[in-house]
Amino acid sequence: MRKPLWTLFLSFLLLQPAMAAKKIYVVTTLSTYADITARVGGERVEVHAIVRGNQDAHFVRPKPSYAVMLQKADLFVSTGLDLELWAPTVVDRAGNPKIRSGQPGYVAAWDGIKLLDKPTVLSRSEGGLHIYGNPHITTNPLNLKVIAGNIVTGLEKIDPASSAYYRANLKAFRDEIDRRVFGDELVRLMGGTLLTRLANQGGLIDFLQKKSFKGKKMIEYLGGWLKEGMPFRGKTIVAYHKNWVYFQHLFGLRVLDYVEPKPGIPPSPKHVEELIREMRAQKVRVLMAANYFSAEKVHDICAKVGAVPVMVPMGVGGAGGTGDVFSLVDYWVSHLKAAFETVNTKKQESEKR
Amino acid sequence: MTHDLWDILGPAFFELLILVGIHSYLGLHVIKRKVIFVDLALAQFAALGTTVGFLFGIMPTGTGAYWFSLGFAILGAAVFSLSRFKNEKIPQEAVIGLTYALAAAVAILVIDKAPHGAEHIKELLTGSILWVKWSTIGKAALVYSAVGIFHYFLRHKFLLISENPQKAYAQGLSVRLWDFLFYMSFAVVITHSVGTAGVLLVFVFLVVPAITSIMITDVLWKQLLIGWGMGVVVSVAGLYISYVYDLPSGPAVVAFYGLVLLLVALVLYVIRSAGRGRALMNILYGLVTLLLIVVLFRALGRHYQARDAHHEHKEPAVAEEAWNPEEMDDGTLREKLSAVSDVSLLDKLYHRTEDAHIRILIAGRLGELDPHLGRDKLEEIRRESPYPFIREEALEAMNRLRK
Repeated sequence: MRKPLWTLFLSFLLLQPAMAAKKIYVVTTLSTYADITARVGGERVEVHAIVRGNQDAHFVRPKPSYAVMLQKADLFVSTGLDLELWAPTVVDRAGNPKIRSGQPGYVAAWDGIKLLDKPTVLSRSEGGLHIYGNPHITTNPLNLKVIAGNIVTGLEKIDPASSAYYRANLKAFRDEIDRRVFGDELVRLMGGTLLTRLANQGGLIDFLQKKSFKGKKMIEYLGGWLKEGMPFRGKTIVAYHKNWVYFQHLFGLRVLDYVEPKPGIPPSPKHVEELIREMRAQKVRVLMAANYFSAEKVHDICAKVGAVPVMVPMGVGGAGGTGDVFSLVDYWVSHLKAAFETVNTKKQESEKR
Repeated sequence: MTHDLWDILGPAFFELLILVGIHSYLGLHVIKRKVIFVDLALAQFAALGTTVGFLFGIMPTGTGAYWFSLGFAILGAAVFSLSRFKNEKIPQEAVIGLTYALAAAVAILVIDKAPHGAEHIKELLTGSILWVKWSTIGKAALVYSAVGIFHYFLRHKFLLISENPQKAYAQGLSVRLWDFLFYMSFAVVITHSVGTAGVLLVFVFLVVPAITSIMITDVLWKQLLIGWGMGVVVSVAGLYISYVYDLPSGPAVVAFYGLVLLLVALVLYVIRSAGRGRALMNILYGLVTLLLIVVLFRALGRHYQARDAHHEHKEPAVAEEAWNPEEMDDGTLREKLSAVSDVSLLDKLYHRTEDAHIRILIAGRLGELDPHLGRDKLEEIRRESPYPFIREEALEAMNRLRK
């Protein structure tokens, strides 16, 4: 009676590390990449992120634990642009040759994404300048499809046997993003690939307004986040930092100016004065900022011009109710929409008086 | 001044005035006691308090954070009053410096556990005087007045200990108790001022007016007047400079303070030295040396800049695809296609893309040149596309060809 139990226990001890070792150990810089990796990798990966959703990915103080994580890593996912400036140092320190840039264990998330904001003048005097283009690629949910593809390519290199499994997960993820962005009906009618291409070119809404199907304008079939974002399409906001260019591109949002005069440089009095004057003149009533910036400054400016602040996390898990990429984008869109609704009710109230 | 300018600089201006009032006075004590870095250390204690409060989820600008930082600063005051020894082998400055370093290190360790850590630390250093609120200024005025009155009534004891501690001991004063009271009042002031002005600005406000006035005169009331006058002028000018040249306000005022101190020192040097011509010559030599150093560093910088530029990563030029229909909108694509009358090129383009919508456009043009071929392709799309909208489009294109 005792013996079988004892052997069972022993076999557990022996099996468990073997089973754990089979999992691919993935380290990502951003929490958003970690969520995507977990989705496409399923139970065959173990994922850890370095930057939390409410942290500024530009400035992370390297800690020993990062090096320890990276030492064990089979796969390392970073944006690959100059977003995580600290990443090369940490990778060097970890002494893990598998995950160096250019090695099979390294994934550059941005690969294949058309970068916006490519600089025309290269100079550090322009502030925290991104010489390749804007690196905040995760703010457009369509980019997440490309990122997921890059991660799957990375996983396949390490674990070719599971390729079909990863590909199936990737397809499911991409379909889900398409349906969330454009709505089920439109994806069924037109397919995600065409919709994505049109949206990336910036001509989707025009296209939908011109075309019709079964006697109804295509735009009436639109659903998902784009539909939810129609109230603020074409509207103007002020942003704190250039975090949102990819989001703006998808949702047709315009940015009048930034609180930071140049990316990464704190605002000076003159700039704030001009910003406030501009906001009053142009009647811009919404200020959007990542929630790692000073809430006080954002609220202060908003109070001066009667604007509504929208402070949202940049990454997954950066605020309550943003546990995965879908709820994160939900959070952005719904908060922005709510802000514009508040502005409208305020306007109506003041008109009534 | 325009209304907007006043909106933005007004609060900062008044805050600076209030800071000048109390800090110029306390600075005199600090210099006389030779505890220059006490404010840095106390400020760091206050900052540590804010940070610890932050860990409990208290926002750094609220009342809760204030009590946290005040509590910690008073703790620091207790440490300093205990660390003064009658016959000092260990200078008090060493203890203060050490306390500063420890408090700063612990603050970084603590903040590491909280989000936004790095931003918060940076903010403590440079402060955010530009963002100060009127209500904060009102509170500061009250607190500082209270401290001022406190010091006015107890000025004899405080001054005696500051200027001549040996005599104070001889009189049988409880120096430790008075020290604690002094540092405590200091802590109250610092707690507020660091919260708005930042560590750098507060340090300069304490030290520069005091040094300047002590250089000029030994009489207390004159020292005070000089300190205040200088503080007001420098703050206003610094703030204005920061506005005109579009610089961050706190650091601009700090740098301007430094410049004024240097100028005053030079003028005093010339006035007081026996041979004025000789003094002027010395200054001239100094200027020339400075200029040389600047030129040297400039050359060095240029050299490395040129070298780095040489090494800089150059992006490979993207080969211009003459024809990538996937990067064009419908209008442009139609225009481009209508200029092509080479059937085999159109066929190539057709097979290069998998985008059914583009294929329809290409097939449409193909049909204009070769109706049979075009119709075949459209028919294929209509049959095989899984998307109703695409099938419909293919059908429409076929109908157009028929006409």
